[in-house]
Amino acid sequence: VVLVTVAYYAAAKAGLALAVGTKQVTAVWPPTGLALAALLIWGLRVWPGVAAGALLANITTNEPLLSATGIMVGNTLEAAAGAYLLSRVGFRRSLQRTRDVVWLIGLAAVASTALSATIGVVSLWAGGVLPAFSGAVWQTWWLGDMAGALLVAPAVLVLVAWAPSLRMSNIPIARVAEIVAMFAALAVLSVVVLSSDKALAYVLFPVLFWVAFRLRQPGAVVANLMLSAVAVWFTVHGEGPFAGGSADANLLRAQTFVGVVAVTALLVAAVRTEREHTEDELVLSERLSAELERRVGERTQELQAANRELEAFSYSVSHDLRAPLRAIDGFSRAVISRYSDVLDEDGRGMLERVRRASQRMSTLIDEMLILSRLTRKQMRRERIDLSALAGEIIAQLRAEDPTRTVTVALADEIVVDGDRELVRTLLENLLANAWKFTSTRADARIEFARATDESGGFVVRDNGVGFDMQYADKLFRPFERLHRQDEFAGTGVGLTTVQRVAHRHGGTVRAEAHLDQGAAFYFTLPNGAPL
Amino acid sequence: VSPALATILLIEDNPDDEALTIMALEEAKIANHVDVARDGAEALDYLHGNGRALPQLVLLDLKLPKIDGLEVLRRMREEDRTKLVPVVILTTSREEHDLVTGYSNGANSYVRKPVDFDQFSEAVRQLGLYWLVINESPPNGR
Repeated sequence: VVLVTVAYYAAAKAGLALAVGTKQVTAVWPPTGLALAALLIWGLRVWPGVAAGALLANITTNEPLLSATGIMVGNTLEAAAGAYLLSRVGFRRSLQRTRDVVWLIGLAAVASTALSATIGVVSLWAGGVLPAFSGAVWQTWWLGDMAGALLVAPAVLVLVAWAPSLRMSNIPIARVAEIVAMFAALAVLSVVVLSSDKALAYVLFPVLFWVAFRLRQPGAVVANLMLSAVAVWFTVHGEGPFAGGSADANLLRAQTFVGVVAVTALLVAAVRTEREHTEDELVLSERLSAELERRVGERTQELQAANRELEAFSYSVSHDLRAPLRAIDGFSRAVISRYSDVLDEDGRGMLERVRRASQRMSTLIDEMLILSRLTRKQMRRERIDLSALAGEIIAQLRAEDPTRTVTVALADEIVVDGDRELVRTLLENLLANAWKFTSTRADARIEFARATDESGGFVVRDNGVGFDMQYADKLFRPFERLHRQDEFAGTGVGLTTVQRVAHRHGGTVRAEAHLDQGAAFYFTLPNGAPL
Repeated sequence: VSPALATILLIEDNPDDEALTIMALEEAKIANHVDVARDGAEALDYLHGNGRALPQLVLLDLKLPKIDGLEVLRRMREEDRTKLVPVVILTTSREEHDLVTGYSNGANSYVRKPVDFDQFSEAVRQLGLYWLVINESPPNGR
């Protein structure tokens, strides 16, 4: 707070040194910017510093106490209002976004300063310094405060925000040379142009753009301060393009110039920064997508490696696990046939059990291999007529089991996209199950149809023995069975196979059944949606 | 062993499978002499060794020590002397890769050994009947 007081007082004295005409009203009123910056950086609670500084500055210029107090209230309110409004809209002090610059201009520089100008002029009038409420004084006051808000506030805010990154050691020599060249050019050109009475001030803009473009916010604020100082200096001393009229008129022109310069430089810098951010984001997103692609490549390789290992594993299973089984079965059989004279019925029966067990294990190995092959098989998509396929499978089942009477109802014209071999395996398993589990029924009935639910899938339904739904979760697990081998033969792989085929087509399978009242298996093949 | 009967070369590393195959041949009353090579290198030495008559039939397992069965087959087909000798792949594998490579390398037949010895014995019986009796061997097979 004390720091703010001292800074405000010093700035006020410096500003008053530029005063023309009315002593309390100057072309550029730096304390306005300083107070605004202070409240933006440290928060509204440092307002007493602003108030004390303003009071001190005005009392020491021998204002009547009433006027000084009024001006103090006005200046404090101005800074507080500006800072409050900016904080409400989400202003960022680095001024890197166009909207920050626009908010600064609109809320702090234009709106809040009118408050100070009005209260200030009224106070001067009330304190007897001004004979009447002067529109000209009000205008100068307003524009002076505005210039202060546009020049000094950004300078303080930007330099504070950038201070950590602005170390000389961080900047390459070539860059330093460019910076020196830019500011030298700006200094020389501004002195030449702004001391001449010809209207050549616009010549300065390209250099201003250059600085703002290359050095962004820090460059812009320094260039603004330089140009303003030079412009005000020459104008106050009656020289340059803005001189030649009344003091007030000169001042107005100088203030306008300063304001335009400040706004322009800040906007150029902000636009430049925004563009750079956009470019950075683009580069970043490109890098991200490259990284993503690399990772996908890596994963794919890992998967391929895993797949190769799996293939090697199944090969070894199919080959090496089966050879001993063949020996067990073969030599058991050899014992049975060659040693029949020393084997009794019991011994022979045991050897037959050994043989059956080894043959069953062989079947299990085969089923496992089929299952693993289903999972890694390359999919080949084509149109499949499910109705026709179901018909073929049923015909095959009838041929293998000609004594049975089974009523079969197949829906017509069900066509999907999918892998023919996989889909055939799925249908074979479901229909063969239906065939198997209706074998105890005299009026066996099997149906294949479109599902009537929302799934867009299909259903294989039978009136067989069904099962208790409380075991439904076991159905699709490999080698899990709901029936004993002597009731219905099987390995417990069929429904696992069905599920894998459905999954490979992006689909699902579920069962609905009641004990002794048949079962229904619903499946979807969404990636092979009906055509 | 009657000199009139040509030899069968059984290329098989598993002694159990060797015994079972010979047992099956015996049960099928195939009286041809059976020579056994127990790895791929031994098989190639046997086939490419000079002065020995070529077998009338080669029963080839695929998974073999040193040089595997598919490679033995490839090298047999490269040599003029052995390129026409009938080769029946007799293996456990039913992998698509083995089937395709087997036939591409010039196998005459591909038979998967069943675990059930009755089926195995029947397969060997039919093989012997076909390749040793019904089928006319190429001229340099003798």
